[in-house]
Parts: sequence; C-alpha cells; structure tokens
Amino acid sequence: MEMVKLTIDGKEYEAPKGKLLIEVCKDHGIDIPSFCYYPDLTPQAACRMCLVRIEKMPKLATSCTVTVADGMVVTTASNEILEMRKGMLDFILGNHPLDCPVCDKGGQCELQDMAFDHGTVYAQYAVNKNNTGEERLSPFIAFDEQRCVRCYRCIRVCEEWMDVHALTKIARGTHEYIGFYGKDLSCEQCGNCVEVCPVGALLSVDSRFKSRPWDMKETVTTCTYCGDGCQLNLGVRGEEYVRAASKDMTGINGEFLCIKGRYGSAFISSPERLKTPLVKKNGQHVAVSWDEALKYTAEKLAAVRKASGDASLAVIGSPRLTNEANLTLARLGKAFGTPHLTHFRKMELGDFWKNLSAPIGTHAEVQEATTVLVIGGDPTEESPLTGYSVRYAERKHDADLLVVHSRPIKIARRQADRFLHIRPNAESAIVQALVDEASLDQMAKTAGVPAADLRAVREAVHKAKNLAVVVGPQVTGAALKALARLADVIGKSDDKKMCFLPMAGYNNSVGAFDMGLTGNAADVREKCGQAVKAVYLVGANPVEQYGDGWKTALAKLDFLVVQELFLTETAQLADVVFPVSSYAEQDGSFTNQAGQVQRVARALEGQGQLRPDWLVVQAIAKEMGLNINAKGSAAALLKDIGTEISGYSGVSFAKIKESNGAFRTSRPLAAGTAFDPILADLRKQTGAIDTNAQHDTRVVEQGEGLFKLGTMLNQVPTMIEAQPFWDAHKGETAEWEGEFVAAAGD
Amino acid sequence: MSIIGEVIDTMKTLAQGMALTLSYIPRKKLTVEYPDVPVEVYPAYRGEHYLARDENGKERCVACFLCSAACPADAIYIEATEDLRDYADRPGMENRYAKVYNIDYGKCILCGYCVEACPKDAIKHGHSFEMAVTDFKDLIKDKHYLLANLEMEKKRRVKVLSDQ
Ligand code: SF4
Ligand code: SF4
Ligand code: SF4
Ligand code: SF4
Ligand code: SF4
Repeated sequence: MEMVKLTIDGKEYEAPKGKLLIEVCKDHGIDIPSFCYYPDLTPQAACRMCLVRIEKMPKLATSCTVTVADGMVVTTASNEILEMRKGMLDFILGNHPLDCPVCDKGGQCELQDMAFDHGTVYAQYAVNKNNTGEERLSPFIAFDEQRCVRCYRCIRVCEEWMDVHALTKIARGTHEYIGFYGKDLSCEQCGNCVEVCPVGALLSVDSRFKSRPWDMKETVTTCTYCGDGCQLNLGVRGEEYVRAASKDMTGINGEFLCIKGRYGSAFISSPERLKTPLVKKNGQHVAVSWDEALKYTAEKLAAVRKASGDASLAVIGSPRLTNEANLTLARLGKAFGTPHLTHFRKMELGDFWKNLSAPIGTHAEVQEATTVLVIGGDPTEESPLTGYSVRYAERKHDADLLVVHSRPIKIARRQADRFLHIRPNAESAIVQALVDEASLDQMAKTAGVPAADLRAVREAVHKAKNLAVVVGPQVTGAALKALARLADVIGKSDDKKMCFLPMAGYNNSVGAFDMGLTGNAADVREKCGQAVKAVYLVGANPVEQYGDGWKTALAKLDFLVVQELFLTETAQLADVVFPVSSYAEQDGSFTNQAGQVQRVARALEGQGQLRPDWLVVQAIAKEMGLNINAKGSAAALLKDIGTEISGYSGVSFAKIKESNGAFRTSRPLAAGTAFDPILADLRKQTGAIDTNAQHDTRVVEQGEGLFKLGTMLNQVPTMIEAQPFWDAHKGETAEWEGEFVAAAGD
Repeated sequence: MSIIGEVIDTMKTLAQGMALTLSYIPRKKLTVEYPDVPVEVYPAYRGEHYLARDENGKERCVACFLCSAACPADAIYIEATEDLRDYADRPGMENRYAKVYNIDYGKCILCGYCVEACPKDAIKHGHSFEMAVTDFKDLIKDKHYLLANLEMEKKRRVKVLSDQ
C-alpha cells in the first residue's frame, strides 16, 4: 500500500494514500467531531461538524470527504475551528426540542456529548421548533422528527447495508425530515437505522421508555436465532429484559443485527416461561420439586432400559442448546449405550465435513471474496449476516455474485450478476455441472436454465481468484458431498483462495454436530413405540415444527422427558418437563456456521426454579448411577470440549476472549478420497429430478423467513402485535420490485 | 482557706447560677410543646418529598430517572410507561410518566440531590418530618402517597416560617 506523509496539528504522520482524513485522524487519536460520518458508509458531508483547515485550500474542508495526500498540512484545533464547531452545533440545536428527559437516547446521545464537548452554553441562533409528535412508522420503529439532526446515517444504512431503500429525505432546510415510501414503514424491520441514529430520532418501539442507558446492565452474548451467531448486548433492568443492541462494534457482525436479533429476545421475560418441574399424574401436569422430578425420571428411564435394552432410549438434543448442554447429552446417550444420539437439523453437516476440500470461511472472508456463489438457501431471510456479507462483497469491491435458487430470492433479484432460476429441487443439477463439465448441457436442461448462463457460472467459479461458496440447506445428499469437494475438482493453486460457508440453520447447528449428536432426530419418529421406548428430548418442538406425525409417534412411547422454556405442544405430551434456563440465563458457548465458538453469557437470574440444561442432564445421570464425567460449571465443560472434541483444541472462555470473542475451530480437509462414487450418486440424484416441474416464479416476500414465528418468537409481544401489519403488506414485494425482476429476467 | 471562706464562695457561685437560671423564666420559650403545638421550620427545610402537579393537575414527573441517578443512597425506584393520549386525557404532563415511583425512607438521607437533579421540578422537598413507622415496609412511599403529600402536609403538625 502506498503511504503518504502529512502534517496534522504540527506533527508528522504516515497514512495510506486515499484514506479519508477523518479516519486517519481517528487512527491517531485526534478527535474530530462528526454526525454524518460513519465508518463503512459513503461520505455525506452533511453535518459539517468535521471541518478542518487544510493549507492552500481557500475554505475550511470537511475531513470526512477529503482523502489524504502527500505533504498535506492540516489544522484540526484552532480558535477558528472551535468557533466554527460552536456555530454548527448552534444551528443543529436551533430547532432541537431538547426533551432529553423523555428521550430514550438521553445518556447515550451523540448530540448531548457533542454539546458538552463542543457547544456553547447559550444559543445564539433562534428558530421555531418543529412541534411534531412521535410517530410509529411500524410496529418496531418509532420516529420523533424534531430530534433528527439530518445526518442521513439511517438512509445510507438502509440502502447500503440492507439494500432495502425504505427511508428517504423529504422537504428542505430546517423543514427537512426523514420519510418513507408508502403508507407506513414496510421494510425488514432490522432496526439498524435505530442503532446508528446518533440522536433519539429513530427509536425502537419494544424498549420504549423501559429503562435508561445508565440504569441497565448490559451483557455481551450470542444471538439465539440463526447460524450466523451475531454478538449482542443484552440490556437488563433488574430481572426484566429491556433491549438487545450491538453497540460495541467488535463482534463478527459489527453493528449489524436483524429483526430477530434485535427484537426477538423478549421471550426470556415472558410470563409463560416454565417455572417448576412438571410431572404427569393421571394425565395432568402437576408441579413438583426438582428432587422428586429427577428421581422419578431416573427410575422411569432405568426401568425402560432394563425392560427393553439400551437401544430403546433415544436422546434428541437441539441446535438451540449450548455446546455444553449438547456435550452432556451426548455423554448421557453414550452412558446409556444407545445408538440414537440425535438432533433436528436442516443440513447434513456430517456429509459436508467429511468431504470438505476447502476451509470454512468466516463472514469477514466472505466479505473479501471476489466471486461469491450462493446455492440453495436465501441468506436475506434465513441468515441475515451472511446476506449482509454477500452484499458487502458486492458493494465494496463489486464481487462477481452468482446465485442459484429455485425461487427469485432478494439477492438474486437485486444484486446477482448472474441468477440461475432453477426448477424446484434441481440444485444438484447445478452442482453436477460445476464438477462435471461433460454433462453441462444436459444439466442445463434438467435444471431448466439457459446452457450459456450455466456455462458462464461454471467458468466464473472455476476461474475465481477468491471464491466463497455459500451453501444452503436445499443442497442435499450426493450434491452436498460433491459440492464440498469443489476445491479438489477446480484444482488448488497458490493464487487461488476458496472457502465455504454452510447456512446451517440454527444458532448452534454446527456445535450440536460437533458435540457428538450426529444422528438425525427425524429418523427417530419411525422407531417410536417399536425400537425406541423412551425419548429424552431437549429444546425442540417437533409436534409444532414437523407435524402431527410426531404427536402420534411420541404418544406411543413408554416415557418422554422434555427440557423446555415453555409448555410447547411437544412438552404437553411429556411425562416429565424440566424448566430450563434460556440462553440469557446461563453461561456457555455456541458454534456458529462459520465454525467460530462464541460466548453465551448470563445476563439475568431468571424467574422460577430454572437450571441450565447440562446441569439437569448431569443430575439425571447421577440419579441413575451413571458416570458421565460431570462437571460443576459450563467453563469446566468447555475445557473438556477443548480436550475431547477435535477441532476445538484448547478452547476455553479465556481463549474465546483472547480471540476477540470468536474462537475459530479447525476442520481437517478430506484428502484425496475417491470422487467417482460421489459422482455416480450425484448422477443418480440428478436423474431423479422431475424435468417437467414448473419453475416457481413466486417472488420471495420480504419477511417470509424473517418474520416467521417459532417457539421463542411466539412469546415476543411486539412480534405478535406485528402480525396484522405483516398481513397487510403481504404480496407487495413483487409489486415494488417489478423492475428488478424484469432486469433479472434479461 | 478557712471553712467560712469556702461557704461564702459556694454561696456566691450558687447565686450566680441561680441568677442565670431565673433570668430565663421571663424570656420566650424555645422548647415546643409538640405534638400539641406545631413545629416551626424554615422554608428550605428538607422534609419528606412530594411529587408536584402542573397547573392543570397533571403529574409533572416524566419518569426520566435523573433523580434516581443522582441519589447517593439509591433510594428511588422508578418504572416508566407511556400514555399516548392527548394532554387532556392522560395523567401526566407528557406522554411519558411514572408507572411506579417509590422512595425508600429507610435509605433516603434527605440530601436534596434528587430535587436538584429534576429537570421538571417534579420532585420537591416538603416540610414534614413525621416519618416514623412501626413496620419497615411502610418506609417505602409510593407515587400516590408522594403525589398526595403536598395536601397531606397541611394536616401535619408543622408550621413553615415565612421567608422574611
Ligand atoms: S436526541 Fe439527544 S439531545 Fe435530543 S432530546 Fe434526545 S437525548 Fe436530548
Ligand atoms: S429497520 Fe432496517 S430495513 Fe427498516 S428502515 Fe431501518 S434500516 Fe431500513
Ligand atoms: S433519523 Fe437519525 S440517523 Fe436519520 S438522519 Fe435523522 S438523526 Fe440521522
Ligand atoms: S433526598 Fe437524597 S437520599 Fe433522599 S431520595 Fe433524594 S437524592 Fe436520594
Ligand atoms: S421526579 Fe424529576 S428527575 Fe425524577 S424521574 Fe420525575 S422528572 Fe425525572
């Protein structure tokens, strides 16, 4: 990188050429106030707080738009500049309501800080205040127009980070305000505009007035929804959940969060939470003490085991649980001696790992990629940080973005350089075309895409210098194995970089696999009542999620134990239900889909007699007289993971902290095993594709995945209240985006 | 010294002492016959707080938490809530008001920082000192008590001296 020398306030500095002056100053600890400048957003030069004097320039210059040049002489702190800052602030405060006492931002407000540091005591400039009240733009976002300082961070975040373009500016001068298209704010409701708003103009409805920044305890933890594993700051006042924010910028997600991360955690304070153990007596759940419930469960499990053998017990873990919980469950299953160590999942990660030919990439690596292939899965709706990372690669260095999907998903419509709109379930055909050139024309027909397009995608993938492959759950069976071998097929060389990012589905999908719950829980259903007589089920609700088939299957069991947060449809069938801590009430770790182990930290005590999952499992084992190497804390269990689980070597809470919050696991690459059998299977798989199937042209609606309610979101009041709002906006996405679809079809 | 000298000396001091004592009898009395007679306090006396109302009887407090932040004894507990109705219909001066506002007089040291901190002149010191209770939990005074306190004070045995 070319470096230039410049002088700032009489001192010489070296900086990379082309860097913004304000960033160079910040790097060297020189404070330049600013509202509209924001790292990672396009410069705006709207607030004019960052003016500096640069020699040989006729006027003061905005340091957020000037790039550094050799020999530049800059003054950032002279009387002239200090006076100018006072003046600028005076303008900004001119029509500001100064209702800090009722403003949710008060105490954390950049305008307050700025006025303290740079402002005058008395205003020199008077203008009428815009006397407008607060407005609810959507069930999640509120807007108080009078507090806006017109920095346009919100607009830029919505356009650049989110590619939603929901916000815009309306009118001019002191009358200008931030508006939106349509009758209300129909967008992805990510709240990132609220996060970056320097003042209390954009606000979150769900935490409205609940606390003040200094009055809550904030704990950094990992989101409990999708596999991306964003870092959050959980704010808690007393024992009451207040809000989730991402303010410290150091996590893998920076300041980004999606609707679930930001507005989906209120379930932890839901009054519906289970508070005591329940045992079914005469068909009714009765609250009992922990001792009684544990003893009863241990006796029942032991009885089933004695009567029907080790293999009649099945353990069903969950990709929602911490690594520590899944580890103890796997240990319990092994102590039972049962082969049924399972969890519910979206993706057969085991097959993928076994055939891995290139490392798993982090989100940061995907952001750097020059070519991104997204195949199956919709990052925007299912894995928002992955979606953000893909958009980032496109936005920052115009990466070649190739999308394969059976429906027109958002990135396909709006950002893809090439979109292969395949037939339903034809992902394997594209995989075959990627690994086997001879069959390309035939595969194009099978998948129902133009052969020229498919060839172009193949070429782009094979020639890519820095390739990231984002794999969705629609890639299954042999296709998943073959895709994992892609790097071998392309051929590795030093000037080529490649990584995979599987969209594994849940917050700890990867961890659940790694901890040893390698079986698929879906297979247990058939066996219920036959080979399997008792099920130990933790953190899953198959009856609701996978249909009534599970209801009849579970009813056939002799004994069902469930550990849950709520009395779910599945828990209602259980003989014993244990109330457990949610992710916010316990310590532990999650492994995200990029293979990074991140902290789960206890933010509150929890209501009722809750215990973490791993503690309950260990207690059962103890009652049954089984030795599962019980440990007294999550930290100790994580240490065990560091010694027992391959790829996790040396992991501990301290190591996670040292690695900036994300400890990277390692995975061995599949070395030179035969590819032909996989290819043969793949041919069989593609041969079975229904080539008469019609293309599914239904546009993926905004929120189709994001706004879908599950066990936890069902307990979040704002999410429930938002239902009519979402219903009212159904079907609009296609209308707005007509032109994008037309462009994609060219 | 002779015995006689000692006797004279003793009588002298006794007379001096009695003279001082007797000189107070015709003067104005400082002891107050409380509770039969109300206690007089100065206007700036920091007694039990009250929550003020505006000219239309709306609660002034907007539940900004600043008083509780300023309190060195951590005696104030607030829960805020909102009422989006118009001024005429809602209880508070603003949309935001206190759902819960408790002062724990087991902790409060009557320092007045909360009153200083309040941007809305909502929390004020009254003049009442009659805060003794027979049960600890009664030391916690809630919003309704504090809102009514200005009125209740009139019934208390305290007389506020005028500023002059
Ligand atoms: S935006 Fe900041 S300065 Fe304005 S009212 Fe809110 S806290 Fe006060
Ligand atoms: S919530 Fe997200 S999508 Fe909606 S306007 Fe704000 S930034 Fe845009
Ligand atoms: S709403 Fe907030 S982020 Fe948007 S322009 Fe106004 S002050 Fe800036
Ligand atoms: S008078 Fe002092 S101690 Fe008492 S509530 Fe106010 S700030 Fe706290
Ligand atoms: S009494 Fe005053 S300082 Fe305390 S919350 Fe109410 S308005 Fe704020």
